[in-house]
Amino acid sequence: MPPFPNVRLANRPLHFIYLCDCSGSMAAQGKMQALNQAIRQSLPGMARVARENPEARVLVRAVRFADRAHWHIAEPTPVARLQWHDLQAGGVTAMGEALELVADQLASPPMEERALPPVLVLISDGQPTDDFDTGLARLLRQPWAQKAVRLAIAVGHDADQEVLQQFIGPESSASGQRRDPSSRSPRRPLQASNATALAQYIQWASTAVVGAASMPASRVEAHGEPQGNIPLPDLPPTLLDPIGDVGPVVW
Amino acid sequence: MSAAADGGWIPAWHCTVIGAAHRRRGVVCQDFSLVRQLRSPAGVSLQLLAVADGHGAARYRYSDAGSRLACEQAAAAVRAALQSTPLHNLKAWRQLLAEDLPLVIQTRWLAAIERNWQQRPAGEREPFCSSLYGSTLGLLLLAPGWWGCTGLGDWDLVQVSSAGSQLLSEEAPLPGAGEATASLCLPEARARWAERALLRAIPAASAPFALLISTDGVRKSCATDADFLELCNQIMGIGDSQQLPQGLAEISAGGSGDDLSIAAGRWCPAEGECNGPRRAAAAALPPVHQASRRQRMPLTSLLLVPVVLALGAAAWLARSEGWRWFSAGQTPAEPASPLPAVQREAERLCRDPGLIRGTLSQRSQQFSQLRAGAGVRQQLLANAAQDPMGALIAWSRPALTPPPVGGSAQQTMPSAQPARPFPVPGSCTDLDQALAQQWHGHGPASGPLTTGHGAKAKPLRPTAAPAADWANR
Repeated sequence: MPPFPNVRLANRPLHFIYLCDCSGSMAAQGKMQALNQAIRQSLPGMARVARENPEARVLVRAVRFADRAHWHIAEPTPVARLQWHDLQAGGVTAMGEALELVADQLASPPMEERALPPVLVLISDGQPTDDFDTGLARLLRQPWAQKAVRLAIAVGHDADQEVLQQFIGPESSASGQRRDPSSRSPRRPLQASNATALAQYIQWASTAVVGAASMPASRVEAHGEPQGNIPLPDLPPTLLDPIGDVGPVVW
Repeated sequence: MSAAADGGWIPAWHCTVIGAAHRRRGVVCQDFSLVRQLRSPAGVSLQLLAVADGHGAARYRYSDAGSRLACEQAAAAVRAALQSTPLHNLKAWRQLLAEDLPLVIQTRWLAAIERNWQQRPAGEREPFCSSLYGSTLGLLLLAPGWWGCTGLGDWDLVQVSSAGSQLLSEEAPLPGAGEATASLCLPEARARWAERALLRAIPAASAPFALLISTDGVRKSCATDADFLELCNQIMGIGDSQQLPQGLAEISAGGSGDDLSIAAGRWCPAEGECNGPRRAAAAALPPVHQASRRQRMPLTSLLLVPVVLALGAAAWLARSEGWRWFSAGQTPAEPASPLPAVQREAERLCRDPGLIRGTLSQRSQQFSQLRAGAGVRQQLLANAAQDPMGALIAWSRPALTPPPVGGSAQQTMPSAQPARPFPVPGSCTDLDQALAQQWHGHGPASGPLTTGHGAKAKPLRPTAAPAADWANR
């Protein structure tokens, strides 16, 4: 017998959405294969984090974008039941349309009243070929997108760092100290120059970030200091290379 | 403090439980709550209720102390203000809530956390920063004739009354704020108090109402705001009982996992309006003689049972047991109404009358215990969800008669004359008769038995008033 009948309790949904660049350039040098493998390999860790945080219901979706943007996983899927089907590369980079797809899903409804801030991970190796600004503006009009933890992974050095930074939002200077532009921060695009780095970033986003986003810890809201909507965990030590590469530069 | 003859606040209570996620991780509870009974130089009482939510993340590592000090310093600040500001000066208290108290509390809190930091081992402490102690703070003041609140952060204030629950104050959502909240540790924090400051006079003709202030974990554990408001309503029914901490712990486990804090107070328009037997509006219905009731049974039962239930529930919510949790201050409160469970059980038996006698015959011990006094009855009614049959029997117990002068202080069942079971909602003739036989068969043999209103000729049904008086017979 519940202590309070007729009161529906709910663990809080945590929507985790990949936005994956599937343009033709991702086929080069094994980038697409590396991305598929990185995401697939990250799932057990993500599932473990989800189990360790039963107050959060981790639900995964994915958007793929090339000539057009489509939902690769349209249904919010509990990570334990997630099966990753390989993405295929080919086409251009409809990143703006991908953002619009996500924007539609971050409206309330379908977003739940009590959801945790979503986690959006944008992975790209190039430049948008459609109207990125319109897509981003539409996305950021959604309150849930404003609350979201937005991360970006640049695959290779041809990625457009500027648009990825726009997606993330302005970098924090919470401490009031000027940041070393070469220093690494999750509030900046994460540079993956090889499969190992890409796998580590994906692993970090799907475990450490999901864990942080799942925890019922509030934080202070400071005017004019966009610090991210959850206290983002530090990047793992292996990713602290100041020039942004882990291992050899392949891409 | 008891409710004043012309209306007043019944003693408030508070409860904090550690969140399920924090317990699992071995993290200390970062919420804090308190209630203080303060007194002005003129001897007028003011109740202060405070809840605070330490932020919890690693960068706020001392926020458990921060939330405690926030509540304590707020109490000290209000106590000081009370010495110089008469409670009847609403204008001055508005000013205090919106501007003066924020400054004083903020200043006191900053000094207190720095003292706390200095007392920590030098080798272990980090450089002092107020964010280490980051916490929200919600304050509620209950004064004669008015109530007020102030504070900052993501606490919620709900009013509960017979008309339903209503969210009175919440933190305004900020674009992109996510899980972020205003905090005492922010330099600009003092500017954020005014938007949460409220002072409302209580109209002379106000019906009873309750105010419940809670940290964000409570609301975030509920699927929707409607569920949160319903939860507040039900918390009022449980009140400051042993059930509450367990209930809140289960809410955290099934919901947000966060620490939970609640503090609540209730206003009663007059002595006895919130406790003791009440005559609900339905009690004024003309009595229906038992014989005629039985003659009209098929039709009246169809027509009256919903009326009885509706009026009973309304009477309960409005005037009686749903509110009794306040009446005894820190003593265990009355449970929620057993009426729905009793009615369901009666209907179940009446659908299959062959079960009635066998079921009742197995409950002879409960009949015997109920004859002995009121305590068992309360337990059975409180346990209606787990033992609806026991609650039904307890509900049906004829009224006790007062002990004879010079006799035992304990009320006892009268004897001799047949007992009239108290009307059971949803009952039928077979069940009525079986209950009557049980009460007759086990009862001593002297003296008239009474109905719940003490009148021999009172009908078994229909009545809504007994529903309102269920715990007081």
